[in-house]
This record gives sequence, C-alpha cells and structure tokens, in this order.
Amino acid sequence: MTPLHLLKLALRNAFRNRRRSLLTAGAVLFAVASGIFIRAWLNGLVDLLGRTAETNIGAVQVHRQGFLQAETEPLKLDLPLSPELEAKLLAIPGVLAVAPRITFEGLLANGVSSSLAQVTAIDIEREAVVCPYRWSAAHSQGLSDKPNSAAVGKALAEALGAKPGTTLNLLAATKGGASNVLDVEVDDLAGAATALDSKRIVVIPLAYAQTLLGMPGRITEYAVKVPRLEDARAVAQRIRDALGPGYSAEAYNEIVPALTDIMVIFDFLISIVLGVLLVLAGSGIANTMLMSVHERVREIGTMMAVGAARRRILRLFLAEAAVLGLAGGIAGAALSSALVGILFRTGIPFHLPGSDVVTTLKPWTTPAFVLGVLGVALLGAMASALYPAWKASRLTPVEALRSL
Amino acid sequence: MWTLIRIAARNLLRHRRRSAIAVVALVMGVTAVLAIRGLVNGVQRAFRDETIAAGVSHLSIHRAGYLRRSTAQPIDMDIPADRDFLERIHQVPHVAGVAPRIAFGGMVSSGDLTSFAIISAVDPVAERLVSPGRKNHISHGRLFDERDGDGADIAGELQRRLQLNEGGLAAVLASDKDGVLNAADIHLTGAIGLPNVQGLESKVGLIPFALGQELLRMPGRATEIGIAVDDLANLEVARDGVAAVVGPGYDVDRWSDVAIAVAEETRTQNAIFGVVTGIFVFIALLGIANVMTMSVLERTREIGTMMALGVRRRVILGLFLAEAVIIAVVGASLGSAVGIAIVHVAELHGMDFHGVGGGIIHVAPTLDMSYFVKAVIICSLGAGAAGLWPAWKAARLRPVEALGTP
Repeated sequence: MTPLHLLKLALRNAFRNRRRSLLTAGAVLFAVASGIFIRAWLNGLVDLLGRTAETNIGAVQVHRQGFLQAETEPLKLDLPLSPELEAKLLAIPGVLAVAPRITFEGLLANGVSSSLAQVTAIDIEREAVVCPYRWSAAHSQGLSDKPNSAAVGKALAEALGAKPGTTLNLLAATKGGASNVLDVEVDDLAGAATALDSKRIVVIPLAYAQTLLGMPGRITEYAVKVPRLEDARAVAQRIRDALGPGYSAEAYNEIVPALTDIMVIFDFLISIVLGVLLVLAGSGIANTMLMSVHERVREIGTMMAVGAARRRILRLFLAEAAVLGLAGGIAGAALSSALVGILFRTGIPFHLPGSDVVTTLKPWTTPAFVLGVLGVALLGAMASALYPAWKASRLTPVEALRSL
Repeated sequence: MWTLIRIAARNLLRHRRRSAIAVVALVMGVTAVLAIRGLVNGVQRAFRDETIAAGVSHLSIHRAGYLRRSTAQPIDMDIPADRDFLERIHQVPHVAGVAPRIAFGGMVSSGDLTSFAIISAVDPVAERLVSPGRKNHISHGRLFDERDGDGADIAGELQRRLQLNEGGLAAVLASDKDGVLNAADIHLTGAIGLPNVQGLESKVGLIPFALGQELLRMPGRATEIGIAVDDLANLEVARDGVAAVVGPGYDVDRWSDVAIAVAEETRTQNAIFGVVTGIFVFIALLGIANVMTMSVLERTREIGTMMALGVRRRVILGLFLAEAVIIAVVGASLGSAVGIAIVHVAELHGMDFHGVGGGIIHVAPTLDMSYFVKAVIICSLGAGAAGLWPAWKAARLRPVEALGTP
C-alpha cells in the first residue's frame, strides 16, 4: 500500500463521521492557534520592552571604562566630544550613527519642594537619528530651541506643580565636585514608558548641561544606532574590540539585564501552556480514535480475514489520527498566522503597567516556530492514537467478525 | 431526579475507557490550571506582603492629594502626629499599629563628599510592628533602635559614595518648610540594601523620627502615618474607621493605592491567567461535546425505544445533560483535589525565586478550598453548555425514525 493510498483511506475514514472529526480537529485547531498566538504576543511584548529600554538608553552605549560602575564622582570618567572618536566608531561595521550625551543625577526644585531627577542631556538633532522613539513614544514635540528647555516626566512635573512654561531649578554636582544651580524652563511633559521614568526623567540640551556641570567639550557617553535591535550585543562586542581598554560598550539588554530574565520566564510560561494544550487536544484524539476502532471492529475483522497485515491496520489508524492532527493544525496555524499578520500591521494599543503612554504591541512569529507547533501537533496526534491503533491491530479476526 | 443521575452514571460506565479519557483530560487541565493559580497566588502574596512590610503599610494617612505629589516629598503637606491623635487612630477597631513618618528629600554629607538622598524619619518602636520587613533590608550592621538618638541607616551605595563605614559620622541636610537649610549629625548603624531597586530609588536613608522633626522643625507633625491592620481581610473596615476619626482633608490610602505598580502587576497577571484558563476549558469542553455526540449517535435506537415507551423529551434531554455534567463534576473534583494537594505540598516546602534584578523571594504557593468549588461550577456549566447541542438533538429525534435506524 503506497503512502498516498494510505492517506486516501485515512481521509475517507475521517469523513465517515464528519461531526466527530470536526470536533476533534476543532480542538487541535484551537490549541494550535492559541499556542501560536500566545507566542506571537509574548514576542511582541518582549520587543515592546526592548524598544522601551532602547527609547531611553539607545541600542548600544559607549562609555569610559568604569563609568557605569563608578560609585563616587562618575563625571570624572567622561569622554571627549571628539570627531576622531566618532569617526572611529562610525568605521565599525553595524554602527549607523552616534549621538553624544551626558547623564547625571540632579535635584529638580520649585522653591518649596524638590525631587531627585535622572537627567539626560542630548544633542537634539543627533539624538533624533539614534533614538527616534524617544519622542514618538511620548507623543510629544521634544525640546524647543531655547537653550534652557527641559522635558520633564509627567509624574515629576505633577509632583512639582509644573506646567509647560514653568521655570524650575536644576541643582547638580559639577565635575569638580562643587554644587551648581541653573534655571530650566519646562517645555514639554514627557510621557514616559515606565512609572519610574515618569517620576524621575528630565531631558535637557547637551550644551546647557556642559555649562551646568563645568564640562565644556566633554560628554559621558555616545549612544549608538544599530541596524536591528537584535544586533546590539554583537555591535557592542565589535566596539569593545575596536576601541580597546579605556572604553566600554554595552548593549541595552546588558545594561538592563531584567529584559533577559523576562525572556526566560516567558519561555517557561509558554512551554507549560503548550504542554497542557497538547495533553488536552491529544486526549480528544485518543478518544475519537478509540471510538473509531470500537465502531469498526467488524470491518477490521474483515480486513484481516482478506489478508491485511496487522502492521497495515496499525498504520491505517495512525494515519487517520495524523490526518485529524494535521488538518486541525494547518487550519489553526493558518488562522493564527493570518491574525498575527493583520495585528502586526495594525498594531495593538498596549499600556505597560505604570506607564503614561500607550505604546503599540506588534505580535510576530517565525515560520520555524509555526512549523515546530505543526510537527508537535502531528506527532502528538499520532502518539495519542498509538494505544487505540495498537488495540485494533491486536484483534483476532474470528472474534472481531463475531462481535456486534 | 436521582434516578436520572443513576441512569446517566450507568450509561457512562458502559464505555469506561471513553469516559475515563474524557475525565482524565479534564483532571489534567484542572490540575494544571490550579497548580499555576496556586503558584501565581503565592507570588502575588509574597510581593504584596513584602511590599507592605517594607514600609508601604496596609493603610497610610496623608494630607489629601499627597500621593500625587509624593515624588517631590513635600513637607508642607504635613499632618498632625501628636500622641493624642495617634492614640485615637490606634483605638479604631482592627488597627494593630500606628507609625508616624516624615518623608523628605535631603542630602547626606561626609567630609567634602555630598549625595542626594530620599530620607524617611521613622519611629523605630512603632515601625517594628508596622513595617517588620525593614530589618530584612539591612545588608550590613543593624537597624537603629530607640536607644540611638542620632542613629541612621543609609543605602550601601550611598555609604560607598560617601566613603563611610558603620559607626561613621555624617550630616543630614534639608530645608524646612520656610526654606531654611538645617543640618543634623548622624552616626551610621547600618547599610540598607534594597533588592529589585536600582538607580535613584535606591538612594534611601532612615533616621529617627524625633531627629527628623527637629531637623525639619516640625514638632508634633508628620507627612504620613503608616497603619498596620490585624488582618488584611479587615482592610476596608479599618479604613472606614480611620477615615471617620481623621475627618475630611486627609486621605486614608490602601497599600494598593501607594504601591500602584504591584497592584497593577497583580491585575495583569490575573488577566493573563484568565485567558489561558479560558483556552484550556474551551478545549476540554470540545472533548466533552465530542463524547456526547458519539453517545447520542450510538444510542439512537435506544432513545427511540425510550420514547416509544412514553419517556418525555425533556427527560431525554436531562439524561444526556446529566452525563456531560457527571463527567465534569468527576473530572473537576479529582483535578482540584490533585491540584490543591500539589499546591499544599509546595506551600509546606516553599520555593525560592530569584527576583528580576537580583534578590531572592520566598514564595509559598497557596490555594483555598473556594477554588475547588469554582472549578466544579465552571466545568459543570461548561459541560452543560457543551452537551446541550447533542442532548437537544437526542431529544428532537422522532421515535419511528430512531427505531428504524440500524
């Protein structure tokens, strides 16, 4: 019997009881579709978290060696704002653009109360190239042309009673260790992607920070744009190799290791869910095949009486289960892939816990994962049918023919 | 009614293997769902308790609107904290402890090194009851107690930045309500290490309440009063009682109003769990619908015979529905029993998780008996719905045709 012949027989058998086959394949369809969709959703969520991190810190950052670990006076570990260093960075494969920044801690005050602030000073034009999401995620216009313009996190502005146009004092320790204060004018209430950012974030122009901190011609970091977010680690490694000791380069997910932890938790979660889905859909197939064998005892007896080998009976029932699993699986994969494709294009408005802004979640999945799920559905269906099929093949022809 | 159930049970036993597979599928589904629920419950409880004990408190009293401005820690939004006021709050039923605090932004200075800090002035005796978790966050040395008039604990990170050690002397600087900068000397009794907290939020310090009042010139005042409740179940009752005592102009905030991120995370987890449970239940119910469809198909002649003998259509309907519900009740009961047993064992042993960002969280998964009831009810209703169509089809058969089928 050729495989094609076997498949034809299995298909015909599956069609003999349409409603039952439909319910069984329907369970597989739903299980496969849910599994793929959940995976796609989590992929989208991880992207969103990564993009959120990248929004604020850039895909890769280049510092003076030891800056991130510095406990006292980190501003002493600064970098020159130098065309030579920039040219050297831009020559490294994967570095598309760089933007200079100064990050420091300060105290933002309204005369009565004050709050700690995490200040990032940026070169507005170059930042727009390297971190384009910074403003689009916040739905805001960004900094104005005024030299002392400041974008302040919504929660921070609210705590200080500040509105656009309010003048606040920004207090910080200079590179030399003295305290310095300058006025900043709130231009924009930056919607931040996390609760923490909303409470603490302040963005000011680079030149103003250089004045405040006594750091003319100096910066603390270069943010680097890479072709794709996935390349961040590789590019960081190439930068470390190219610049040698004295400098450090970190990818966003090395600076925020929680992102990697979340991936591990998600993978664990999805494997549990897929496992339970497999058992549930598999038990449906086992039951259907058991009924199928039970109904066709006489038929099996007849087949055996006319010389069908036991192996063939076994294969016939396994093929029937495979047809059910594959039909449900393919339909489920097609349905969820189509849905994921549509949602990827339209995007799902998503509100991260504690965030001021609504971001867009774009679910996606890979053909390899879809094929893997299909394979699991096929093998799972056949494994579930193993016992009923084995039972069918162990029948003795005489008894089988005699049964009702 | 009882006869109907007995007949339904007997019908299920006619196909032991088929019924067993349907039941086993349900048992596995329910077990998995409840085991995950137990774990999620444990994680949520651990985070909640940790958050409350670390200083958020079950309830806290603030000046109305304080929370919206708490980032700036405004000391001009103060509230009374005299002995009489605190005593009246303590008298409210279910209030177990009352701890006044002043939260303020200041600077810690040692030699020519200075750092900003988020400082709380707390009463060590009251905090021992209201915020018992504070001592767990001391990474070196000890938390100051009532004998240390000028004791203080600051974040280990701040200590390193200021190049200080335990027993070292430093000064706390802060502006009072009039904007006048004051200073107070402190000696360090220990270092604070907050797990899962990075950046600015980790730059914290604790000083004695009396010292804080003196530094900020706020005698008899506080910015916050933390309240411990005897049992979380009495939270709302206690809240109403406290609100009645303090009167208008004050907010009595729940822990979930203060720790918004923890409360929101809990809601997100519950929503995800609900979706996953829905998917599992739906697939398990498709299995039951399948079994019932088969059952009706096989027994067409039997149904014809019953009808010919005068059995009512609704009895036939009831019979098949009863079969579906029995599968659900048996499966859900066994599944919940196994799930609850697994969770109970896990609760006795406890599990240690590495929190995101370091730090170990001790989780004791937990499920109460109400989940047993919930599982049985949801599965029974679902099975009833899944069995409705096959059962209705059986009840619509015409006796003559049904008897005529082979």
